[in-house]
Amino acid sequence: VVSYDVVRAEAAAVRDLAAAVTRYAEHLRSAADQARTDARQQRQSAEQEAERRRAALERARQALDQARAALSRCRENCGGLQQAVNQAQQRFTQAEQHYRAARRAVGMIAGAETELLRSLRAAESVVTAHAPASVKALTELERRIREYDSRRHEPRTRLAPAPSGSDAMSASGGSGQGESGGHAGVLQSIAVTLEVLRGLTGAGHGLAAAGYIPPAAEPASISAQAEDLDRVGQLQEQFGTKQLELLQDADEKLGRRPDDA
Amino acid sequence: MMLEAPLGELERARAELARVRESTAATWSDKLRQEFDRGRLDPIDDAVARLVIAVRRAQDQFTSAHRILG
Repeated sequence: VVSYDVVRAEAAAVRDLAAAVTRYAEHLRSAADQARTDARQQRQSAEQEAERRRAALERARQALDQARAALSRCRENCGGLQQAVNQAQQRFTQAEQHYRAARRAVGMIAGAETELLRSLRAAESVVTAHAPASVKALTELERRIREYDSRRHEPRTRLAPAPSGSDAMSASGGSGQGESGGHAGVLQSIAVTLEVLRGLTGAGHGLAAAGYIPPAAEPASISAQAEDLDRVGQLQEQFGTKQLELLQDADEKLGRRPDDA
Repeated sequence: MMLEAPLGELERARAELARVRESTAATWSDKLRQEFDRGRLDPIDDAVARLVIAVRRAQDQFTSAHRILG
């Protein structure tokens, strides 16, 4: 038997899930911002390093040009100048390699950044589409469940008619507690079950309207669910009525009052 | 390590959502919950799972680039 305690637990669970989805979207936003900042800093840092190495290469080129010019003006004892040209050439070659490596690193980082930004946009797009709709639907579900929960304080008179002279059999109101004995307890349980089932079915229809389930997946299964619950409700109502009739019949034959059972 | 903070946050977010999904798995009707999971929760979890992979790939590429820079 579905009880109101179960309904309240479900309302709490739905609220927890809504809060979790909200936090999930917030975590994604925060992580995405951080990732963008990190990636941009990586690229800028690599670009600065490449610029520093480009400047070093330019200085090495000028030093090489100067060494070559000095060597070209030399007429005798040019060994020292030749050695200076060789060293300048070596430094230039090294600077050129460093600069090329930096350019390659910048290319790699820029490519990784572009790919990362694309992935971030894709994830944000999905979460932006689904998270608010989920939270809205869950909030609506929690509201509906609580609405049905609040009905426990209202008289329940929908069930089969109680036998005359037996107020306790009417499955009516009050707190819904303290009526666990006899036929009234059975009917009370059935009444609660039916109301909860109907409440959840109604909530299901509301969820579809609130975007609880994406449009493509929504109609058939929700309707089937509602029909299932309606059938269960009808059967339980019939069962309750039939059981009541049998019990009344037995009581009359035994000459007992119904609530003595 | 580069991108470590956002990666950690994404993984924590996924773990927390998984925990709440697990603890609230028995809520309302099974059919509705399954549809909700399939229609809403699975897509956002899958999207972030793919993002985690992309962030790890970016981390590897940044590390390789730094190795090239020396």
